Amino acid sequence: MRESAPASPPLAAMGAAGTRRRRLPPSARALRQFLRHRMAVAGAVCLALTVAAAVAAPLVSPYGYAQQDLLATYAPSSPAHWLGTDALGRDLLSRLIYGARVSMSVGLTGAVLVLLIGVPIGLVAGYFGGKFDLLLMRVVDTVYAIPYLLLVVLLQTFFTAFLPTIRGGPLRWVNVLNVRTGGVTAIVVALALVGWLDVARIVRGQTLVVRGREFVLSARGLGASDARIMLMHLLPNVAAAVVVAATLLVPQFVIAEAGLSFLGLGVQPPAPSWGIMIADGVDAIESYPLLVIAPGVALALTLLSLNFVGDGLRDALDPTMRR
Amino acid sequence: MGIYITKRLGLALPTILVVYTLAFVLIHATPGGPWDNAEKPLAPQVIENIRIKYHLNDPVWQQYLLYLRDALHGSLGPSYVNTSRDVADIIGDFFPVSLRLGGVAMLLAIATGIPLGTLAAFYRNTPIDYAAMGLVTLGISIPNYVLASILITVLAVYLHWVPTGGWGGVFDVRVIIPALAIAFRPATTLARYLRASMLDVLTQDYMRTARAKGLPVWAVVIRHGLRNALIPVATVSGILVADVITGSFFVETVARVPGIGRYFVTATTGRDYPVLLALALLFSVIIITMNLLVDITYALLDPQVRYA
Repeated sequence: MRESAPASPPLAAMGAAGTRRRRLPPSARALRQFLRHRMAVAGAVCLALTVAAAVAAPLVSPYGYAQQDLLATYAPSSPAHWLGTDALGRDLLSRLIYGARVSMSVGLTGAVLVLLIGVPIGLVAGYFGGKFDLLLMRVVDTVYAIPYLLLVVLLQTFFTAFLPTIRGGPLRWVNVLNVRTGGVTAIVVALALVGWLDVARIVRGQTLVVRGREFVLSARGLGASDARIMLMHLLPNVAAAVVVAATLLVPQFVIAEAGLSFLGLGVQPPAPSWGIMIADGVDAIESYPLLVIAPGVALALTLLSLNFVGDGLRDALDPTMRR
Repeated sequence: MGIYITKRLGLALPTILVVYTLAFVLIHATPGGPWDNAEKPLAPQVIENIRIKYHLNDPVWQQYLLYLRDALHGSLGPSYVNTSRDVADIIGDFFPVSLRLGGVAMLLAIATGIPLGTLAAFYRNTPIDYAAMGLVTLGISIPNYVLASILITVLAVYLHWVPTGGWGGVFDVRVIIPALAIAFRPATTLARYLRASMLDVLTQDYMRTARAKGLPVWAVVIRHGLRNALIPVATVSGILVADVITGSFFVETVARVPGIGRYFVTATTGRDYPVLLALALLFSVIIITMNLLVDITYALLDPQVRYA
């Protein structure tokens, strides 16, 4: 994108305005562009705080997530319990903080897995075309005909039942991980198995565009191997679109995890998930609406932040995709 | 035209078959079943009899073909949990409720999404546009079950306008909360796509010509603009229907609507595999049919598509 792409709109605009600005490296330009997007910055700050709270949960949360105070069930907010307690006398704020751990880890590991599967497949399909590409597109068409959540539910049900049957062998750690994380692993795997298609489709599309450019032809003319062209020339050029796509997939994962947990299919209690907290709170919504509102607001704020950051990244990294 | 429809049908049928195969394989690969009750284990002989009754000891490919044959004859087999009932009967009981609720929600989404998208495009980069796009962002960010809970708290608990849940048909006040909660997301999706397409149309020459002929602004926007802008938007109807279906899983559960979405959730937790398989098929058939109808309408509206 550095030498090969024509001058991107912000640069052209700068030149036209006649301002004598120093030429910034692309990363600094992207950062400046991102910082100009006020909502994206607010979202990034909000996310940073959530991640920090999630990482430092044992330090910052006043109580344990499963710690019960049976004499103070449904307690209103007080200095001891800032947001009050739930039906089992568990501190709402502590559960919110631990719940952030679940949401953030599902979002992040989901995005990483999706990239690991989707990028190579999309690159190969877009670069070589042919039967493999045709097959990929048929799979994409078919999967898009199934409601996303339905497929995730089926996959998640399968993995939740299947993982405990792995008693030995090289994949045993997956089961251990799933038990330790209260079922989060099964969700992440299910989400990633559906989500990689989106990434592969986008990477394929971008690869098709870049594949015919002169610098790829000249690289091939100089005798570069297919693998080298894909890694050194195509990948950097599709990276921006991939990062944007992955950022916009993260809120989809977070919302799906909360949804599955809400339905009782996701994270297993007592591990806290915002989805479970909302589901528990719904039972007593007439009398204690805060039990639903608090996790609901936490979830909505996180999703809003993620979407704003995604929009900001798109504007900063990929000027052609700007709305 | 006939050839085009035949071609599209020829693509839709294999897709349904693939969906069936996928769901079948997943469900049969899942270890365990509704009889694996850890607290009250059934006698091995009982389980063996159940397995024989449901042909679970036959080779998998036989089960696959058997179910497919029965499904094509309209028989979806008995439910594992409600053993006295046929899956087809269960769907017949619960699906109409969801269909009506989904219909109301869809109408609501269209009735609000179209004006919202049109206004946002027409008043581009003004507070009206920003407000509309703010709503769109909320539509992506607020899960429908949270929205349903908020609506219940505000409309039912504090204002006492409607009951907190239940179902009384399309013309009952209890339809308001679930319909609003389901419609919100598809409405904003529709508005977002329509805005983009409308922005394109508004700059077209024929729009200026229509204005130059002296037609009033809104007549031009609606008669010439909206009509053309809606054509590409029609292709997202599949997404909207999927939104309504998945929305029903959650909203029916929260608002206690006895629909198929809520039954689906119960079936998953109870591991009622025949019901899951049938519903996976049903939902996919709805979406595929919807996409097919959209493609055909699209081809009727825009003859160029057929040659593409």
